Amino acid sequence: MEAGGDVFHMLFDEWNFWSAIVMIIVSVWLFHHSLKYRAKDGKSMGESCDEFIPGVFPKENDNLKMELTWTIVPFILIVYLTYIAWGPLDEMWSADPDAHEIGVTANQWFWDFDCMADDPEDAETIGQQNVAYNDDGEVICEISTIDVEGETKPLLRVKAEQSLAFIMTSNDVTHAPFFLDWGIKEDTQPGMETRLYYTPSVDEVGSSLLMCTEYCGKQHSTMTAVVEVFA
Amino acid sequence: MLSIHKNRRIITIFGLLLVALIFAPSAQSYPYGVSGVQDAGCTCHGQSLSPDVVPELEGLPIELEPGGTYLLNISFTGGPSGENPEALALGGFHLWTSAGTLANVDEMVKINPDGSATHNGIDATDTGQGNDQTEWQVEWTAPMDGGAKFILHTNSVNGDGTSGGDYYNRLNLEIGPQPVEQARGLVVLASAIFLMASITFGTTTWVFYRRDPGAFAWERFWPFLSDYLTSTDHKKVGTLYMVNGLFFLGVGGIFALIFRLQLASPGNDFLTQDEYNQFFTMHGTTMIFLAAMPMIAGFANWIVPLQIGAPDLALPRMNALAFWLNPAAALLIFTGIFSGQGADTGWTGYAPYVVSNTAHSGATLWVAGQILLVASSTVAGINFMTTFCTMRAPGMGWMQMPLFSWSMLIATLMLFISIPAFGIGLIQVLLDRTIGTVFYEVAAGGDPLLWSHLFWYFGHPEVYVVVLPAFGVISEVLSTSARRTIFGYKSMVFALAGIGILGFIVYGHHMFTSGMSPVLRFVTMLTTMLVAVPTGIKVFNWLQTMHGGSLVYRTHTLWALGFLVTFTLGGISGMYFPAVAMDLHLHETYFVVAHFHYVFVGGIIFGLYSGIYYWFPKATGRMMNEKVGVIHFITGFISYNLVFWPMHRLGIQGMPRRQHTYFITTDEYFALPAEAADWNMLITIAAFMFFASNLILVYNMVSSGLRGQKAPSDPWGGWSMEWMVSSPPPTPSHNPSDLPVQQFAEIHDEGEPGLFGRMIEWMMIPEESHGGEEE
Repeated sequence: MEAGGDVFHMLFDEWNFWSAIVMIIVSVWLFHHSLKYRAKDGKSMGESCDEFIPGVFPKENDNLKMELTWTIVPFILIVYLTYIAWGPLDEMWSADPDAHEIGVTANQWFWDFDCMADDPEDAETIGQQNVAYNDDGEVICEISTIDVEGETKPLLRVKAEQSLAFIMTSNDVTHAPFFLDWGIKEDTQPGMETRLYYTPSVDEVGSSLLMCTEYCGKQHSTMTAVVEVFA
Repeated sequence: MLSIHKNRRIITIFGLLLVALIFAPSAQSYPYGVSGVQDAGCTCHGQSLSPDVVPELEGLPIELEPGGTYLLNISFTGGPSGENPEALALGGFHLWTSAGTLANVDEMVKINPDGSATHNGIDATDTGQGNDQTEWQVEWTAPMDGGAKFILHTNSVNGDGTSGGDYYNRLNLEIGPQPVEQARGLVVLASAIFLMASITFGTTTWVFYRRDPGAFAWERFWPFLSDYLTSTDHKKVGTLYMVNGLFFLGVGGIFALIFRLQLASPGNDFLTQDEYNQFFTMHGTTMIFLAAMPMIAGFANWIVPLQIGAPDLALPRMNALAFWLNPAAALLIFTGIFSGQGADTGWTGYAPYVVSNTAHSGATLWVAGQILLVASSTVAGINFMTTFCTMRAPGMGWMQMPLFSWSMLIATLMLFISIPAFGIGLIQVLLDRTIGTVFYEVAAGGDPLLWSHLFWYFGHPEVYVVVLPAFGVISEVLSTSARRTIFGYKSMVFALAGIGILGFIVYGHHMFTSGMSPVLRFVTMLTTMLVAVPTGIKVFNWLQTMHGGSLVYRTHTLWALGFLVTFTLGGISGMYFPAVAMDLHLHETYFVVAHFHYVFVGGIIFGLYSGIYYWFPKATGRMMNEKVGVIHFITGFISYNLVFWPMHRLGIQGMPRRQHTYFITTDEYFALPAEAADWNMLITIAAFMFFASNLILVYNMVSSGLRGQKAPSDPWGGWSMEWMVSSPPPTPSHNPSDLPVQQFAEIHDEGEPGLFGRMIEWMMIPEESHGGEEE
């Protein structure tokens, strides 16, 4: 398993590529100029190429063509990077009407999940649902508990290839569930509903730790849960 | 006569204050910063403990039998319980024990997940439930060895369906042998540091005293002290700012070392969660507001008037006021730490957490201290803008100001425009926390995102406020060291202004995961990407400045070249966040921590170190030791990169920041890979090295300041006006009756003022009209 989803890794590799190019240009430039244009012994004051005298504004040193080059070229790169970062937004923010909804309620300092049966008549009891089925009667969402370093924490099990919509809110302060393996997170806010959409793939079968990633007080760091994707 | 009037005025003011105190509504801050259920108890009804309620716990034996089972009777008397014949409920309790296990004997009592016991029946309409009793029974199984502590809270309920008018009280009981309290790692460490520091201080003082006992006379010390305490000279105030900033840089560093010890290995318990939260909060607040900002103000105070050819700042008294607000603010910010209730909100202090009952009570004073800093920054901002507009040397137009002065002007403007939002937010939080207003109370209709918007509207420009002066320093240092005019002076100024404008419309990138409107997220994604353009112009201009020059390697040159490497890395890693899809993974992980430390330390602190080495001879009249300086650079640069470079990797692996501990992958679940523990250990070790390397700078400053070589007025061959005066500069810095006039190396025709110049002139009172000399 690897932290971060496919979209993240696709963009991350692209960014690394361009970062490396920029960094190589800057480093080569820096080392070349700082070595080639050093004072003869590197120590003595050296001759002032532009004759600095205190209180005298020195000769101008500019070149419009060069300055425009390193305004326009980075700008084009930025436009390109923005363009490729734009695509995934659509996927992340558009609601899938067939998504199965899962309720996430954050509290100081524990997570409450709710499988929310699609059809209220299927609900075994009123209120929180610990299990939900799809039309074929297969389990698509199940809640139980798991031991994390000696503490009992909630375990959320979801079916792979099932489109999910997390409907999130908080009972007290701001929290944020971090789905480590999928590389997504979103704050839960009191008095407000936030949403996350994701469809775990078959490659993502397995359990991963869910941590709180918006500081929420004393036991922030142990406010964990486990999310398991099953085939 | 005058003194009588003065006394009368003082008496009147005190009288008015007394009257106001009597009539003012009494206000109370939240008395309970929760640090565990045993301290604050259950959902206690009432603001504070009430002696009217008497809790009782019976059934404990005198001699404890290991593993024995006892039936405990819990009851209480007193309070409003039972007074109301139609009461919906009578009382409640919460029992916590340090050892053994509690079990319920009937359905009146339930056992909480943490092992404590409480009454059943939370609904006021339930009758015959646990909350309709004043007596309960629980079963307690004693531990196999040792004794136990009990903490019992009881609520005496009047039964009107709300918790208003109810009272509660607490009972502490101990039974059997109590364990010897273990030494806390932190207390041992703090004592060791304190002891070492006092021994060092004592022996050093003793050595100096033995050499010259007469030098320790109060009469010799007092003029020096009173001079600094009362001075309004920009150089003395600048020195105070620098000392203040460097001192808190050290304090913030010690906070960082302490929590790095905690993070050195997974599952460590060197600090409790509570302590950890306070330390990282204080680290952030200290470094930004008490270290970086004062150091920048220090440079601005020292250099700006010298550089633009002014005798002093425009408003020297306001300048002193702006500084003296700082120590007062620092005192307020730190007060909570000494009571064990320091602010634990993170430096961002997100509402609604910051106004919730669970935040420490020290957060109130932390907020109050920051309000003072807002006042200080506002006062300083007015002062600097006035100075820039009115006190430039004759002949110095806007486009002939040295770049450090330009960067300070833009930074001051940005701070001045952004800080009111922060001030408003802080005042609202203070009111929420003290007199019970509901600006951030979500239940009362408050917006959960309001604080984030106000804070980041200030918070992001604030980053540029501290980094722009560092840009200015690097421009000066590189140009002087390369013996070459800065490449593209005009585009440098336009890039500064561009950053200044863009800096205001990018703040949404801090809130990509906050549930903010997608449109705003998308817009700030575009603008954040754009900031790279002006920043890129500056980096490439710096590099090109060296072209055809004759670069002299001095310590400040090394720091400036180091800055170019680390700041470029920090700038590049910043480009990962505006891509929202990437930010969803990277937000609030160590990748963010790595990025902003590359900008803050590799950018700002390296830039300011460069500035310290560059201007130290001007300020003290003595050269710094170059050899020691080079050692400082090499050790500092290497250990710095060892601290922050691995954090990128940890962030990508998903290690969240602001967490007391971290989890390594086990058979049951996937979390951080095992190597994360090794990286964290490396970071901790390197952090200690980095801290130690900075002590070299302190040593160098002290020893060179005392007995360094005498410095000439222009040791590095710079061109700007601070190099015209002697080192150290006289007071007033430039002779007011004989101000320097800006000369030009090339033929310079003074054109008509441009649009900006005309606007400033239009705002100004015309020269002729002030002073009543004409006619």
